[in-house]
Amino acid sequence: MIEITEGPIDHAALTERVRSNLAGAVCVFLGTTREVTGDRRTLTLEYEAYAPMARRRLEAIEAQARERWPLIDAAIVHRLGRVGPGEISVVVAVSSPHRAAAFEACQWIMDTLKQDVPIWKKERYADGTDEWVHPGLCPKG
Amino acid sequence: MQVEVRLYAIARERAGRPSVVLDLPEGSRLADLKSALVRSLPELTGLVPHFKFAIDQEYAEDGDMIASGSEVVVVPPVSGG
Repeated sequence: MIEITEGPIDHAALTERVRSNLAGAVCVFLGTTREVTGDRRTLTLEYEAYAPMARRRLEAIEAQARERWPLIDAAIVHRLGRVGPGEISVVVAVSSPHRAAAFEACQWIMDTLKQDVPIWKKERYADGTDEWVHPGLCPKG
Repeated sequence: MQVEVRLYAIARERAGRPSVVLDLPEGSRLADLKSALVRSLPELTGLVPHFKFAIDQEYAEDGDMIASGSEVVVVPPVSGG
């Protein structure tokens, strides 16, 4: 199950969604806004997406994970717009008969999402500055 | 042919606009579109080599053909999660 949403994500509802009598393991990852990075304080993260392609890429990632591991269910939900400190920007929830597959699939989905899906975030700092996060790109480039 | 290129994140911010329409010869490939893009928006010159591009919602390579109705999007390095 894939969703891109502007509103808060109900992680407990997603955990319940993937739970099953066939599962021996449920693994849930929450990505949350970290308030402090080094000596800088973040007020909010602001996410934007090329939404139709992001949805397609997420569907492909879910399908690949289901091919690679014996998953019973999987849910990937990403939030857009402003996400404040401690709030959830992304949830990956997977269930499988045994724990190794659940751990591995959850990590692989999240790692692949961060490399592949056209979603971007901007950090808005407490000192009034802001900065797009573009890994590998010099911010002044 | 005229092709609209949509810009996201730092590309949109540097260009100061969400999209640009480029005039390309028929038979153009993505590499030609990139050259036309930096001619039209010189402020993206140093950034374009770091960007991916998508054609019709799939990541594209320099040799891929552009058609007049192609949905072309600039994809700066992604940072979801």
